[in-house]
Amino acid sequence: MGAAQLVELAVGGLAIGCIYSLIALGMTMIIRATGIVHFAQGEVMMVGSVLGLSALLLLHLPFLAVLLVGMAIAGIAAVAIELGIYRTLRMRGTPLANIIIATIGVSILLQNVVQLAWGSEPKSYPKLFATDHYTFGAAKLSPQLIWIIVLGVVVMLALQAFLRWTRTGIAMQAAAQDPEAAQLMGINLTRSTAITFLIGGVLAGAAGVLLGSMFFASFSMGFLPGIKAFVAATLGGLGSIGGAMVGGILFGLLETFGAVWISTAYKDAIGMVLLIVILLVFPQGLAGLVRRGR
Amino acid sequence: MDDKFPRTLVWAGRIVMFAILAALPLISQQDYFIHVVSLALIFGVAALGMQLLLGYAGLLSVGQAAFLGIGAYTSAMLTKEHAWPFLAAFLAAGVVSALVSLVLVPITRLRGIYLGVATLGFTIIVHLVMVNEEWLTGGTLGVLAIPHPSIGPWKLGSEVAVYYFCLAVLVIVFLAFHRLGDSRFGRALQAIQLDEDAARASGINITLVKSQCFVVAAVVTGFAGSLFAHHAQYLNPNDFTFWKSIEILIMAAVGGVGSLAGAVVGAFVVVILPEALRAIDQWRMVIYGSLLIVFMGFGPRGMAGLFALATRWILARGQAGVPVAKAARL
Amino acid sequence: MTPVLEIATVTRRFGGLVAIDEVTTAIAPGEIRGIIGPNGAGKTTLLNIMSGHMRPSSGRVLFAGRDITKARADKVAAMGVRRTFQNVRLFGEMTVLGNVLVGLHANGRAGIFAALLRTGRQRREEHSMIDTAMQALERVGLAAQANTIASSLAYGHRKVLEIARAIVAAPKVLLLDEPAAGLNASEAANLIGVIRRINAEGVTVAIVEHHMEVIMKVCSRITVLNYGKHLAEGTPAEVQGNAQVIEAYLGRGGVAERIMELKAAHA
Repeated sequence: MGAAQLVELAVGGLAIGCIYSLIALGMTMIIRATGIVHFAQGEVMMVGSVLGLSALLLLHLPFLAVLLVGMAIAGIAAVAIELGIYRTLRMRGTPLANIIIATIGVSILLQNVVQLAWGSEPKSYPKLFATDHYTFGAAKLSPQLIWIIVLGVVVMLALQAFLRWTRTGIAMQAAAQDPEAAQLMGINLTRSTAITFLIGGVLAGAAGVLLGSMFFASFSMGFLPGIKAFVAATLGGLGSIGGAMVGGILFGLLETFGAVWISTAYKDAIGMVLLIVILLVFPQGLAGLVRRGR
Repeated sequence: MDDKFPRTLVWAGRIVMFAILAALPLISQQDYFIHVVSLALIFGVAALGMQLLLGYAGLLSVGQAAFLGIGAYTSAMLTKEHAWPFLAAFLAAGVVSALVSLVLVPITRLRGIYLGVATLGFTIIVHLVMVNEEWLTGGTLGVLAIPHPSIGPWKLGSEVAVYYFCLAVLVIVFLAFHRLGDSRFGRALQAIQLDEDAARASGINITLVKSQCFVVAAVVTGFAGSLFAHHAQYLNPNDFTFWKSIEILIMAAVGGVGSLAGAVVGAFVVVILPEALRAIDQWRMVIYGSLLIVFMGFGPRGMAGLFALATRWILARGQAGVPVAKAARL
Repeated sequence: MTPVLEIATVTRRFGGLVAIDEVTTAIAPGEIRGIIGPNGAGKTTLLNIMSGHMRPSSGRVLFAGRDITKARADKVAAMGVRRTFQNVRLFGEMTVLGNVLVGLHANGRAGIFAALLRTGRQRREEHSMIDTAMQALERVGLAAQANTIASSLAYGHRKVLEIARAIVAAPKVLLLDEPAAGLNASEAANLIGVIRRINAEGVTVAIVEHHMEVIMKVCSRITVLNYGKHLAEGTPAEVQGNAQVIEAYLGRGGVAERIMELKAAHA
């Protein structure tokens, strides 16, 4: 394999990994705040992608604006689901395991509502960039991939900054670590959980528009990436923000290189075997490694 | 104070349920109807296996579709390619499924969601093997023309005959699990679910008991797989994706975690509901998803909890403060 | 006589913190050993090491002369070292009887097939287990509540139920982690009676406890830990008179000296 091909593969793997990371981050934040494994996170991404494309087609917005619209819509959808469904279930005293299964119901619901409203046919994003590919030496890289990595990293850094340096971000972290103490300190849990879903939705919406721009948008596009992102989040260590980022990117690279070097047919199995092996060594994911190292 | 939900009532409920199941073919002998309710019975068997894991031992498995598939392919290939009699292949389906489940022994020490994700990975791997290893499974084309089940010289050629055979298997597995729940093994499972440290301090080898639980569930799910193969007479790898694992998990949870009857009811809900909603074709999955959310909100013990509460309310209005926990173990 | 339980220069570290620092002690058969010390002295850690729930970083644990340092907790329990937990760890959704039956797990042999077939031997075993469990419940005075769900018992009853679960399998050693915590005076008195009876039946007992009255009344010997170190050991009277112990509990100066003075004045 030539160096050029290696670079192309690595960039492709990084790009898909960024998308997994963005979905996984939302899942991780939701797990930290509520314990809910949000199986509908992939569908939230799908909603962002599909409605982002609609905005693009109807309003002829530039790509960055489409990205923002997709993020906003997915964020609003996530908050609506939290306030309308999960919060209601929690207030009824529904056990966590039941709520997690209910998120699968939400996933089915979203897929089929979008299918009814938007049709079953996948729709392609229009060509967004003037050039087909940038050339770096012998490597040809499509502009989408570069943009995905750049924007993915920017969004993730913005998230870190938000969590670390804003009042709301710090309050959210506190609420996730010790809800009772946080409440005593005057943090409004309902609000901070809703914001968690909002941010998780925004991140997923970004992933949706980016993924859509690479391939297409469809009602069923979210489920598999959602599951893979969840696996990636577990790989990194559930509830660890850094773990979700690293896990997602690792999973994307692994999938891409595994398909080429080991077997296309068993592409999806490679990540799973690695996952199981890693869990056997570190039953709490890779974040356990960091904790143990300290 | 005796907090046990009256045993007689539990058994009355179970007998009514099985009486209804036995009477279903009297309502309609239409092949399609019988075919679908037979499928529900088959998944009832798989859901019971899931209930043993989830409800008794608190083990979250998203890997049951793999054992369903292993049982199905084993039975189909043995009868079709090697001319084994059905009953032998049926037993072999359970045995092979159990042998493969031994691979999972190392991951039984994972907890909660980590165990769920590892078993999810297992399902995905097994599914890919089914898709790609044509020499073993027929690949994406699947296996066609699987023979009808037969018991010795009797061929179970009609849908109704298959139905009653599936019902018999379901009843046997149900009673077997009831006995298991009320034994040294069953108590150990429950102890592990409730407090691992205290279970260890009571002399229970956690890894051993958890592994045994996985193996027993795999045997039963393998049986269900065999029934599935000979009922459908056609196998396709896409019958055994991780989505099927999630469906089996939903069956155990919708009916009420920890409840055997609940698992059977759950299987009927998950299998029949989408079929029953066919009339409103486009909307059926929307309604299915919504109902799933509503069912999960029924309270801590799903539909079994609802049933227990209702019975209690009818029997003795307002004897407050009695835990439903035991009641749900119908 | 071989000690029934022996701790030989056991150290346990958590990261940089040394919870147990080269502690050595031996508990003779038939003893009721108290293990006391200020908060954070490492008492529960020591108990966890004895029961196999935790491995020592270094040192050895011997049970009746056999090395059990690396044995799993369930193995140690099956060999005859049983314990209770600080905050009462019952199987809350199970009945009182069910909890005690779990304690008999290692004594049973009936496996999955026996349970499925309900073999004669399996049924006989179940019956004899239930008999044994009922006897244990009678010994702690809970027989009447056998079919109650454990989590609905009063706190004092939950504590003795945990003891019943630990003694049902006729252990050689019973480790109790703060059995008197949260009990009122009459419950505590009842507890003292229960512990004495168990001990009279030949069970060696080790108690971690803050409740000094219980410790002084019931223990034959007391080990004092402080900051993970073995500070003193002896009969209740010896320990009570030990200046180092009083200092550890009350701090240097002021109060401690005052109490010593008072004691001297009374004597």
